[in-house]
Amino acid sequence: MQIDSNLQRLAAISNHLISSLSSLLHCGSTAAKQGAFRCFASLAANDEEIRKRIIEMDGLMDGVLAGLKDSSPDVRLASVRCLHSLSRSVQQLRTTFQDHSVWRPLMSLLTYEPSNELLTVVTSTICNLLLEFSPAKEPLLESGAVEILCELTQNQDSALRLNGCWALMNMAFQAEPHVKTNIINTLGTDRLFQLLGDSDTRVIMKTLGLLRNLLSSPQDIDNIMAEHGAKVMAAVNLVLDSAYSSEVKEQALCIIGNIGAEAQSDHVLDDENTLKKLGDFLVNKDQKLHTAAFFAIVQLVHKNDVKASHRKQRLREAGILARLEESLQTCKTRLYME
Amino acid sequence: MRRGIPIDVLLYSLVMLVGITMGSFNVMVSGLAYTRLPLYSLLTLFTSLSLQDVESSRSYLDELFSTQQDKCQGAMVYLKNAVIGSNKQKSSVISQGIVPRLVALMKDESCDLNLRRDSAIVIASLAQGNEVQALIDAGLVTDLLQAIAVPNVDPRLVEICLKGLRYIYQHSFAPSSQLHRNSVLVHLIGLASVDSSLEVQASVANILQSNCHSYMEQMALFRAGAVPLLARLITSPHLSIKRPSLKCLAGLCFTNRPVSDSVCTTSFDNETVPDILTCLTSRARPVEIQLTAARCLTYLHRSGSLEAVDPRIEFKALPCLVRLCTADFDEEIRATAAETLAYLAEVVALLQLRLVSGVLTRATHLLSLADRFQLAALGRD
Repeated sequence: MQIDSNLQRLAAISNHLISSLSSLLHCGSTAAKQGAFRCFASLAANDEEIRKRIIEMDGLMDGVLAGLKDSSPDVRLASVRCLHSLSRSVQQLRTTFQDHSVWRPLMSLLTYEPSNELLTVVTSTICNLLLEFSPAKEPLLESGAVEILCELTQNQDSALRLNGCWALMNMAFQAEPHVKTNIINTLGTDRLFQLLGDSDTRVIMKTLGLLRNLLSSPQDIDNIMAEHGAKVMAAVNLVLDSAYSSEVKEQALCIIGNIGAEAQSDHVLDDENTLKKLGDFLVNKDQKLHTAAFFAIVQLVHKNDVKASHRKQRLREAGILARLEESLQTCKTRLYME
Repeated sequence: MRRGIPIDVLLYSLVMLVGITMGSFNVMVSGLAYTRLPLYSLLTLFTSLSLQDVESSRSYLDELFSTQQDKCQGAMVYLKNAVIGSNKQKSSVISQGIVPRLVALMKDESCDLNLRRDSAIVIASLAQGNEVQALIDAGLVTDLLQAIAVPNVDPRLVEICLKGLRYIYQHSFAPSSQLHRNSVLVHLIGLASVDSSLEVQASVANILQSNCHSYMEQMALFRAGAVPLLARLITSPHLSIKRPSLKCLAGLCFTNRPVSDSVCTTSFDNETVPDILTCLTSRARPVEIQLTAARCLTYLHRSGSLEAVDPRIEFKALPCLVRLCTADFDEEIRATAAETLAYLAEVVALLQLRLVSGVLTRATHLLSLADRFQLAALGRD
């Protein structure tokens, strides 16, 4: 993948391009509006400075919002692409996007049976609007975004399933407990775990990300594990036992680390398969798996409560200590070699 | 002093009368109602009205099917004059089922060459009308392709047939499967040799341009040798050849790495195609040529054959497109330039923000995927 921000920067500073495109927006023809929006989308894809210059053009945002309501589907699509590029700016999300309540027309676009292409770009933009620092997160939640996104995870198009999971993951980041509960109840644990077996690895990655964000505070972990503990552990084991890449398994190990560190009950230590996998990954040559397994075990050992000595004993019995020593020996040897 | 009625008004009245009588009144009135045309225009009009509708004159039909060539030729000239410039007459001829007779005459090698040429002219004229689907259904594409494939066929006849094919292929619904046989394409490309007429070269370029959309079509043209041909045609001083050739080249290179690589290494007159294209982006060239040349360079870059830092992209194609976006140019040019520029500078992957929470700060070093900016391939747009 190549990101050619140099060409974008070069184009943006050349020959008053941004003002030329801005005037093109007012030409009226579908092709003119589409061309201008698409060009803005390209220019604003990477560079914050260019985004700022585009958005500061007089009446530009009104033009984009008018584009969202244009009678031509091509113009609507192009204007959302432009908005998507602009939504990558933290500053714009917190200022211009908020001033213009951009989330509202975006959500309206979802109600008129949009094409998959439009739906993909709209939901990509919504993904950004759902970030924790975006003021649009609250109104989006209140306007039924959870239901729409959960439904999206069932779409046949993997790009849309990906966006559904991605947006839910962003929504769950440092969210209030009621938001997390809403996500779990609306999505359903069955669907959540089905997504971990998706044909598209990117969907699996985002679903694991969603799980990590759901299981990210002591209270949430206890609440969720109390009700769905067995299923969560089964799902995590499913990923660990699978032939997925180390990046995917790394995410599952991070979930184990979170659960191990904060849950009241010993969900991890009570699970033979998880312990066995942790031991295996400790001596795995893959650096990602090795480090992630080490991290998960550190979480279990560092927890200082009444069960601490029991946990250590359990880890010793499961052969984890021996594996740690083995791993330590390998590290020493490597150091000598280097 | 009392003034007499001007002669042109008198003639106009006469024309109206004749027009009403002959049933061609509507078209004529719309042209004359608001202006007083010069005398010669009215006379021309009067003459054209003296040609009866092909519908209302059936006698020429009998003569067209006559075995006597002079009678047939007379009817053909009559038919040719009737259909040229009149969609109504073209439709009428097609609905009367005359096309098979025209095709037969065009292909009949025992016929007089003038008659064969005139048949082809009528066919090509019909292909410019509104009933192209009917012509395709009647198998005209096959007939025309067969006619140009006959060994030692009259070059003028080939030229006319190619024109017919060119008009047919302007329509997206025209079937391209027959054309994409390698032997047909090779023959077609061979016809547009340096020695061939400008008309032939322009027609071949247009036909190829209309048939270069899918990957399969790109590869078929590529294998048949379209790239060296186009490398020459884009240097033609004639816009009628240069324009479709450039468009065809753009179509060939779009998202096609093997073809783009080949284009980059192909030369004409000791100049590589990208260098020729770069020259064509100059302000001295017609705007449409600049735009299409910049589009070709854009596609060569996006296909991966030319680097973004290649000066021909960075300092020629890109500034050309930026310039064509300015208010100095027509809206259509600006729109296409903006669209092309968007594609040139577009990121391959769409960027989204992503956050993953780790409950412990110690965990953050593990979050190799928790970059706040995450690439997600969502497809080309």
